[in-house]
Amino acid sequence: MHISEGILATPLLGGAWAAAAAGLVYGMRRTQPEDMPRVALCSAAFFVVTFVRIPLGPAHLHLAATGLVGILLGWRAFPALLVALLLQAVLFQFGGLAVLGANTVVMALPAVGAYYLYRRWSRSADPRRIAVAAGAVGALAITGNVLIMAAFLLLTDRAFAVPALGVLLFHVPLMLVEGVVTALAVAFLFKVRRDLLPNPEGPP
Amino acid sequence: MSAPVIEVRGLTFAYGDGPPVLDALDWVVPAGARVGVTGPNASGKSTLLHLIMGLRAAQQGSIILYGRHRVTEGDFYEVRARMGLLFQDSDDQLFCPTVLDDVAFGPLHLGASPDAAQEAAREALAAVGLAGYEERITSRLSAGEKKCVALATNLAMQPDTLLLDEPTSYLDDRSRDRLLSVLKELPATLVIVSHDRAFLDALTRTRYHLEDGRLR
Amino acid sequence: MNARGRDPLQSMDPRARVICAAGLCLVAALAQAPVSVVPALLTPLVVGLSARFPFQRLLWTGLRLNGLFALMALSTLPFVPGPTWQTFGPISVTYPGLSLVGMMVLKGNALVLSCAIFLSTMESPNLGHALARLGVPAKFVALMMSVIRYIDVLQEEHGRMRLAMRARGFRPRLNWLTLQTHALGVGALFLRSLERAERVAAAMKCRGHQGLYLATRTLHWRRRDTAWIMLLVAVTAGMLWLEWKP
Repeated sequence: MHISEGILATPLLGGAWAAAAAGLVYGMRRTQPEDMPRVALCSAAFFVVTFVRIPLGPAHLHLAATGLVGILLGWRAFPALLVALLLQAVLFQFGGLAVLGANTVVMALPAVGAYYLYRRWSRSADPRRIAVAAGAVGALAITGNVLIMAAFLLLTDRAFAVPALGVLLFHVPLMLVEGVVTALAVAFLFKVRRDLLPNPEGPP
Repeated sequence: MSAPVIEVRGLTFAYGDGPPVLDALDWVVPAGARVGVTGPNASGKSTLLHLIMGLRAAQQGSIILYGRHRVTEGDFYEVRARMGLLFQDSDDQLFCPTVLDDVAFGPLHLGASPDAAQEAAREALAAVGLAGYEERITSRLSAGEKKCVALATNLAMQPDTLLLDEPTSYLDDRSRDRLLSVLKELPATLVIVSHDRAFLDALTRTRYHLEDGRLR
Repeated sequence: MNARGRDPLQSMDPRARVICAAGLCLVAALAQAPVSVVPALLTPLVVGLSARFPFQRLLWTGLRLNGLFALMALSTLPFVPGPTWQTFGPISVTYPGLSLVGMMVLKGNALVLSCAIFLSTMESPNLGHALARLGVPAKFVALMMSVIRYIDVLQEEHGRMRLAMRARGFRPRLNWLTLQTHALGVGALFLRSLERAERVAAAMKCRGHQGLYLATRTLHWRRRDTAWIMLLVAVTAGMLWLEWKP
């Protein structure tokens, strides 16, 4: 899931780059030297997961896992996602350099939101409630991703209303898929190593 | 007589709420010794090495390295400059994209200039028979090459003590023999954790067996 | 170092590549009229041709990109108001509509080509070295280098996992079991990544890591790299002239 080069208006590209840069700086400030491997490995895992295809009739969906990355990294999702998207642009020409700021905002802003929502909703020792919280957060994160993407299209030109609507509708199944995947993945982590998940009582 | 390199007293460690992996363990490794450690899977061999390097904190007991008690992270900085650990999985140990970056990382962090670090890295690579590998992409190396590069990252820091965690797992005979010959020539205290009896026979004189949290 | 042969791209300093790619992208992104995008589109094309860049590698990328643009054009053109260019049955295509679609196609191809020609033709670690030497904060470069290092490892790990799943009868379909299996794969991948991160942090500590990162590579800027920058300046000037000419 990404916006291709050439579509968005120039001022929007610039504004999104500024927002992405601000998120990047703030996320890097919150990254201690001993956290670097965690941020890097989550970024690499995100990179790998986005190549997973889920068949959907004649087309297929790609997983995004922004909710999961957000839950695990918080604000540090900005550097993690920016690096992964940069490498996808350079190595595979998915997205590109000019639109990298916009794609980072699309992916990372809902990821940060996912972190705070998860902390709020996961104050429980019951694995089922944790899974439900994670599932809701995962689905909402994708919804956020898609809404920002559609907003960027509409802000560029009102005539992009149909493609924007198409993007929204096409990704409705992904919202459900991501919800389920995030729920099960977090339940898995909670069962095996709950210390790797954020502690809702700890400092953010 | 100099102080032993490694001395642990009453070392106890458990993961989470589980049973202790190491149970009031006492152990001394004198300077210049070459010792092997065997033991069943999950008996705490790797854990012991990680505790000695200060990578995990023990619940009880004391760790005395080079004659001094080591407690805080700061105490271990000095230890890690002299004592190397060869990780079981080379992909954990080699975290830079190219070989030269990885091998030069240690010397750089010990305060060497970039040029001196590169020089140390080149020498270390030559010592493990990998001269000319400097610009190679680490993830494209074979398991044997990765292991030798991982060893070079240690050698570049000129350790006087080397802890090796299952050094021969995943290695073919040629890589294993190359590792063996490098280690034979190395003037350092060696602690080798391995299931490979022949490898231990060739390199070590003393043998310990770790089981049920105790060394014998 | 790179093999410095006769190929103009191969002999380019990684810093010059980054500057050229970023500069061309900036030029293409800033252009506001279709004609002023043309220099930024032609430059990577000509450079790619003269360096015998394997364009067939970009076939799929080009199809994907321009297929998307075709789809966007079909769903957008009828709705752009303005003076009519042509009428197809009930649908009239306007001049502003043509310009919107034209810009999209020109810019999209220019941006993707610049990035592909200058950046995808070098080993990705060189991108990190170049950024470090161009003044990008060392901490960010260190992060990027670690990501580059572990993408392959995780891809292989994930591949082995999928292989193991298939060996036990997994077939991706549109059903609950498929979804569950994917979730299991994602969970396992992240678990292994997080646990690996702990071990990597330990390995960094063992080598004295206390928070700083120093790039160790010396790069060699040569006269022809300056020539590349001159080319970029000329393209920028061309864009500005086309943009502002009377």
